[in-house]
Amino acid sequence: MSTANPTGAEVVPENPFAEDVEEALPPPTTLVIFGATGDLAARKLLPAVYNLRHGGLMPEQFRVIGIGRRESGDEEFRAHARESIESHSRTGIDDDAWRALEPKLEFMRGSIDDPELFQSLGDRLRGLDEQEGPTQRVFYLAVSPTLFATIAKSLAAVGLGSGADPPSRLMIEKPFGHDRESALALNAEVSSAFDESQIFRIDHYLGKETVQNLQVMRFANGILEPVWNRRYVEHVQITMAEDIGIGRRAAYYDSAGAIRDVMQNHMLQLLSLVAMEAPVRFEADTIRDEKVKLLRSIRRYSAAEVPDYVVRGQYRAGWVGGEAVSAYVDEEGVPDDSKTDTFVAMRAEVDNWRWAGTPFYLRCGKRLPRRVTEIAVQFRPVPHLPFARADMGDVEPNEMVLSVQPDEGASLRLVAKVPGQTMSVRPVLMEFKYGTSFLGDSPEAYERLLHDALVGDATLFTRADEVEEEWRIIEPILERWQTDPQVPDTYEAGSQGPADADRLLAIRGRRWRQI
Amino acid sequence: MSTAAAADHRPGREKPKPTRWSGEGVTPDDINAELDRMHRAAGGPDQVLALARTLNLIVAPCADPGERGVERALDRLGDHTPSRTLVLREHDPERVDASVVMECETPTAAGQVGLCHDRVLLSVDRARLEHAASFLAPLLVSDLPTVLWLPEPRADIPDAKLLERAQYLLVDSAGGGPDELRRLAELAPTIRVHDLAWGRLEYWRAAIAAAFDPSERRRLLPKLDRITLRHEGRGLHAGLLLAGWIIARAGWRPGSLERQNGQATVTASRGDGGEVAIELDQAPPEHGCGGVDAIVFAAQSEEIPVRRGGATSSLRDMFAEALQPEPSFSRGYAPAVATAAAMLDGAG
Repeated sequence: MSTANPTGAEVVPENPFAEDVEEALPPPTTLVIFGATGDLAARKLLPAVYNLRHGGLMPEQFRVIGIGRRESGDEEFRAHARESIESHSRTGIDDDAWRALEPKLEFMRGSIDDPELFQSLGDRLRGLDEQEGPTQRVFYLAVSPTLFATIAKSLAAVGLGSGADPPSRLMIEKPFGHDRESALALNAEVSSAFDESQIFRIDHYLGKETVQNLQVMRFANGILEPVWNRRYVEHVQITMAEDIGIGRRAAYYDSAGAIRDVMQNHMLQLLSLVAMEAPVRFEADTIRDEKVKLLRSIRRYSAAEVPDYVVRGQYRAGWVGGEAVSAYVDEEGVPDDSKTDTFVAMRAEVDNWRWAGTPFYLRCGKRLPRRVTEIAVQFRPVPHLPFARADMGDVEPNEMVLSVQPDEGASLRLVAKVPGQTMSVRPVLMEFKYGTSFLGDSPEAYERLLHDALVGDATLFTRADEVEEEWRIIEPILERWQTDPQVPDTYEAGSQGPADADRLLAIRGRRWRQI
Repeated sequence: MSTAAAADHRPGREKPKPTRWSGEGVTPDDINAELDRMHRAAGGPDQVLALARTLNLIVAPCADPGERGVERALDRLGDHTPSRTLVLREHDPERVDASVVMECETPTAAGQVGLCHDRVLLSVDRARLEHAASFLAPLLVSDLPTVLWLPEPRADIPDAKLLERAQYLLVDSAGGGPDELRRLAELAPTIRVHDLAWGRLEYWRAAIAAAFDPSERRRLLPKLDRITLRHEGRGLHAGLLLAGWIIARAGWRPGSLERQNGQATVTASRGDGGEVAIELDQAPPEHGCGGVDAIVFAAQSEEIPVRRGGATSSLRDMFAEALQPEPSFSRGYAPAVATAAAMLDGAG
């Protein structure tokens, strides 16, 4: 470890201890949670903070400042946090770990409309830095998206935005805008307060292990690459089905629908991960560059073309999981005349060298028969079947299914001879189930994402241009639906969705996989 | 050979799954045949079962009290259980007795797949135990990694060929003494050692690396002259491993360990000839993460404290992690244990 170079200038040694560390600890951090007494903080954030700290993945110098409107102080906030952790932590609560975390939790009461709150917050952070040493500031906005821009600008106004010293980061959660125009406006407003490198947009779906595994499956298995293109793939189906209804989210969901809630973000993210080119390195911007390239190549339909490529539906009463469930319009808080889509199916065309002519069929919806998220890649049939006989029946083409949830894994459908005297064939499955091959528990998506943001790794976060490209694809669909007097087709709860969705695939014998 | 298989066999139908079987004077072929029969009989129209595809685990023999610990550890593994566990025990009769259990976790919801795994308890005489690898080879599931677990760090490895058969050696050196550290130092260059004691120290390695991330802290590295490492009462072993790692990574030369009045000290030599005094102090037993409670690096009057911050190693299922081919904690073990052993041996 030399300390001077030949010119006599001091040389700072490398950190010799870093090479054996796989998961770096974040630098000293103050996490400021806006909406700290809300539902997201209780169910996800506070348990994630607890588990990361208990598991030794947080820095020793760490503190949480919760901000909320409730009449509350540090003690009440700590009691609330303990209750949240007890109820929602995947590991329960350990008294020793809680005792270490408890004094690190503080609360500030205030209204986001009040500039005084931000002035006080800035003063408090600077005061704490002087007492205990500087920490990075991470602002997590667990509040309504309508407040994102206000908070970002108010933070910047008191010197906590771009160029802040110590550095700061801003974490916001989808939806990023209500349409393309509002997304552009939100990006512009947030970007006026924070640099893009400081902004971490959460699509929690990207924090799921199995979604991350999509890239490993594709780019670490040499046998897939030669066939992962238009020449061998006939079409791809991406399904994200939920059996649940909208719960108590009527106020949000009725203004969003399935298209904004799921299609614009999760579904297009899955599509981009399945279809993108291999990044040069597994780094945040190289991956996101490839995703943006892919999103740019997805054809934007004109408003007039929308009915040919997109189908929407709304569930009516039916039976799901052995229980009678009500129609969407009878859900609490939903207007009787709501035209909101609870199901969307779409045929996406990827106009690039790899995929031109191979359609991607996407569908998502609520109150479908079961909860399943999967990507099914259907390969082209063999050009000629040498042992074809009249009694043999159709030979199913090969199909690879990547299951994201609930039963994570992959399967490949092959055709095999049925043992016996005749040349009968039938499809068989080669299956890999995640749970049969991997040991240990996975962290919650929020633990992974929070830790990544704290160490500054943006790989699993959505960049501004990704969001804008996603809205570019969705925009004409929204325009068409807004002006279209026709109401969405209804489908019986527990069914496969509206019958019209079948029309999208009804060529060359294509059909949706059973949900 | 005598057997004690369980259930009835109904003609025309696969026998319902007997999950236990035992036999005296058996061969590997007998055991494989029984395992095969159990696998075929598993499952049914109302549940889908699959064999776990994780790893083979060979458990080396240990003393009677240790056997109960082994049972508990294997029971606790639950979903993480290896595909096939082969537990070795020594007995007097000159034959091999086997007890085979196939355990299946029942799916809890429609659409889920239940996982099955096998556990084979092999009681073997001394002569055969010394050639255990030849007996176990036919019983290993092909194409899966094999882990050799030494439940007691002091226990002998009955057949050196097992180290060739296994890809990893699983051990918890926390219960061992200087001789075990020396043995692990010898083994580490030849087989990947997954030492649970090392796993529990992962937080400290990350915390030390983070402490020296700022450039103003790294400037102090060449000037460090004292390190105080506070360990739990029974954590000297952990302290030695961590001190060994610090010395190895900093490129220092270790001196010999000296003990006086409950305190252990080591003097390491820096590359520039300077010395670093490393003190291993005992802390109250209720504190600590992996046996260590706090570390303070000092360069003259400047100090860099590295604290626990509420981190514990209890949250992690270290045993399950250690069964993975590449647990995150495994890096840096060989130089750490080699340096710790060198300190014990007084090698300068």
